[in-house]
Amino acid sequence: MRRKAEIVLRHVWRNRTTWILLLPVLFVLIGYVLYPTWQTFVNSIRFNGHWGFELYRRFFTGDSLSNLEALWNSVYLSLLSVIFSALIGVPLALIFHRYDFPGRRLFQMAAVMPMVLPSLVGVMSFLFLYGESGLVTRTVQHLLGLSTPPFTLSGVPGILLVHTYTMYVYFYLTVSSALQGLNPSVEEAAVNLGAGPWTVFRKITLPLLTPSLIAASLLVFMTSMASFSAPFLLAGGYRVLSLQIYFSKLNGDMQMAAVQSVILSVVSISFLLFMRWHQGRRDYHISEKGVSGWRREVRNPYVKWMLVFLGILMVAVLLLPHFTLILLSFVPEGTWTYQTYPTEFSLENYILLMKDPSIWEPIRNSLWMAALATAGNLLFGVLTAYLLVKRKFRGKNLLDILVMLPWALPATVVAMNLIFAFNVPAFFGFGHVLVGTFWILPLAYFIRHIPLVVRPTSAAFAQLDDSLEEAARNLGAGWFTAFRRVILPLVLPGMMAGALLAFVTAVGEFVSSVLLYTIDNRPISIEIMNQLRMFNLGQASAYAVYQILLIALVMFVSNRFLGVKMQNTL
Amino acid sequence: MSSVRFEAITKRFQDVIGVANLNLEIRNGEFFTLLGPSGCGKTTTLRMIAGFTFPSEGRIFLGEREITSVPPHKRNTGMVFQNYALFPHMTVMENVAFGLTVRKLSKPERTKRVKDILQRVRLEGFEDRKISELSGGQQQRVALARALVIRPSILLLDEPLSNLDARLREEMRSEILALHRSFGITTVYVTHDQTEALTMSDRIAVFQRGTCQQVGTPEEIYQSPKNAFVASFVGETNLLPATVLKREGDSVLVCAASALFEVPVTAVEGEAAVGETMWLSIRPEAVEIVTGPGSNTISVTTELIQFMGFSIHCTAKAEDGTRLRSLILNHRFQGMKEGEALFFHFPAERLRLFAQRGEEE
Repeated sequence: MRRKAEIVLRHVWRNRTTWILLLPVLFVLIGYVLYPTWQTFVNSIRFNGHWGFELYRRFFTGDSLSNLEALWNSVYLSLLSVIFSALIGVPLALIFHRYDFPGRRLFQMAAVMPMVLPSLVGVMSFLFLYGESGLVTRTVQHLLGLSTPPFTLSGVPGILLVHTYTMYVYFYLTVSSALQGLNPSVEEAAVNLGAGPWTVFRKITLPLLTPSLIAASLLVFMTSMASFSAPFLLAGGYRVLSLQIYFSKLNGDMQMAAVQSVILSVVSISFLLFMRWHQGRRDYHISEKGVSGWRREVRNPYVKWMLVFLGILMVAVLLLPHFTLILLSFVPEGTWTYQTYPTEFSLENYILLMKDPSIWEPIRNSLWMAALATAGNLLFGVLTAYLLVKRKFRGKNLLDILVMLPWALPATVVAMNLIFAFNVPAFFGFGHVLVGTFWILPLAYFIRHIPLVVRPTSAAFAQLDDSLEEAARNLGAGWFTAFRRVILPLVLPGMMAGALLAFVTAVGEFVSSVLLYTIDNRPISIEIMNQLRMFNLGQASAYAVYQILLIALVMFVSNRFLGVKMQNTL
Repeated sequence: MSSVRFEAITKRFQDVIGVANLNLEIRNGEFFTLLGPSGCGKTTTLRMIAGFTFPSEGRIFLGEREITSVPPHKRNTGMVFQNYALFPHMTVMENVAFGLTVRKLSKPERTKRVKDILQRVRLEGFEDRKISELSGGQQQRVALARALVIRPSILLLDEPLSNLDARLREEMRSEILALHRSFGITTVYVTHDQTEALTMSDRIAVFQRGTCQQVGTPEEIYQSPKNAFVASFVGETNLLPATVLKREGDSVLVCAASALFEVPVTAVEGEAAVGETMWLSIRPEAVEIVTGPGSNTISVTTELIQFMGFSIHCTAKAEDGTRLRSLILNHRFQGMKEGEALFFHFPAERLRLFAQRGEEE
């Protein structure tokens, strides 16, 4: 017995660096990911002081089937979102990859523009355009001389439209990068063996794209299941699960909220596990030197100019939300009411942003909380990525899953978990109640964005040759010196790119904010909602424009100085 | 099986010329090699036979059939790609059967032909392997089997050995040749490796900058190169500037490295006008070492003697500083020392006189 303990201790001592580094990582993951999830589960199986699955029975068979209906609606909406996103994203990727025509590069750039809209801002701009009193709606009504709006953005079609607009980018980017990895000579070989164009597509191209198509489908499905902003603003009476959680919490039915969270978590986690399994299963990417893609120039003038025309149309549709927000941000409060188009423009909203402290405060809150969260993400991300890639220990796979969990879980669920864990004094809250304080929001941002920093940093570590660290150690540097002087500078670009992404995402965060904010730390997104409620569209747009500019700046910096490709930011 | 004929083929890529005015006939059953440095147009020529590139001008015939603008999948050519281009999502069996499936052959017929061809490339028992489970040499053989199983009228090989290591390359070289002999199929082979070209081919076409420089048997190309580029690209050669002094009867008298040489008129490229500066070429192994002065002989001082085992490489300096190389087989002329004064004899029948230097690529 004694002897065994000695062996274990010696083992721990030899790997002490790993253990010392692992401790804080485990503390964070257990305390702020695992423990809150556990707390939600515990709350879901307690009913009137008894343990049991009574509430689950009610979820599935209760008097009103509203919960089951919400679950079904979420799945249904997500499936439709996958289909529509694929129908737009895949052909777009194929066309841009195969054919060259005037303006292609510009169209390609425009195709990823939906990514710079934070979810709430995206939905809002769609309301401004296609809602009951939207610009496009009013224009059509005006042109046709109708007395009522010809259409209005709401319900399933409305949510689907917004989902397709924001999520086709996942298909577009994954398929594009798969096509780039595809060696053209494989298709040529098929042609050489006598296959016509359709046969080549069906038997060669499509099967080779299947892994990326499945990956994108899973991603869209998960994002769509977790989607909150679109249903929040557009659902009307339509129930979806992520929204039901919010309503349960609002009505004070915390236990039902816990059950709904657990069920949504189970769906998300099973998708996460399936995705990991699928990624490890098939990889057709054969690495080879000197693969050169080629694009066929479109010769037929009719086809060429039709493509150009469609491209311009696409750019217009894709960028309309951005321009609308910019345009409306110049409309002063109360000047656009019954008119078809806004008539007065001024810088008033922007001036108010600087001058009025109550309008400036949300921006300051958001920046400050995002900065805090990102600083935490950076520290935690470097440590975790290093451990995951460069150190050997048991349970690594589990750690990897724990790291991915906060991103795979819907933001609503993450927020609910935090509420269940920290609305009472807890060990991991250092004996304080965190809910209702300033600190709960930065904590939520931090947890949710852990994977955003860990993943690119891990990729950077993976490219690093182990011999670099060994060489530094061999030359007499201690572990910390080797890490600081050799390793860290080399992984810095990947790390910074991740941190910047985490920062802008935190600045625009809406979903967990809406469940956790207090009046003193209300972030931009909550203030946008407030302005919308007061029909002050101009001020809401000005906030949105601020966010878009920040995101555009970060993307530019990442792309230009940190060498980050767009598809790696997924 | 078929012959291939190029009639005045030109291929332009935007403003770059890929292949310029090519007239070429590849005979039925021949092993024909397109040889040249990278970017010389050899791969473009091959891809025009396969139909992946269409010529800007001219016509291509496969046998008697004009195929200039026939789409690639209707040409019945079998191509082996440089990176093999095996379908990664299919097994060996499915890869090889692909061309037959597309041709709608019945299943038993397909299985029979695939089994048969896999046996011929020594891959029986590998039918259900995945491509990623094969070694480089095995992948190469699958690619060959896949191209041959459709019984193509012509076999196209695009630098098929460049991804293999040296030992395997030698092995595959004889394997490809054996397959060529047993199928008797017209084969077009693209390479930048002169040894491959010389050892494998019935005939070779040497390309430079989109232009076909010379077509001939390996012996013709090596022994009587048409110009300085061919001489220096295929094998090694000494190339020295020479001034034409006079022409008398069957020979031209030139002065090179301060010595006089007589070159037979048949070995002269172009007119060789008196006073013109041309380039004298002689292969190192043709240089003879003699003890005294004589005709076509130049006095040199040895600089570097490298003992290679079966041969000795000798670099020497002429009186005016020109460097000359000579290669002597081991059984002759032992005990040379560096710094020794010698005479190099250039046998007239091994000399060539070229109009231009032929820029290095």
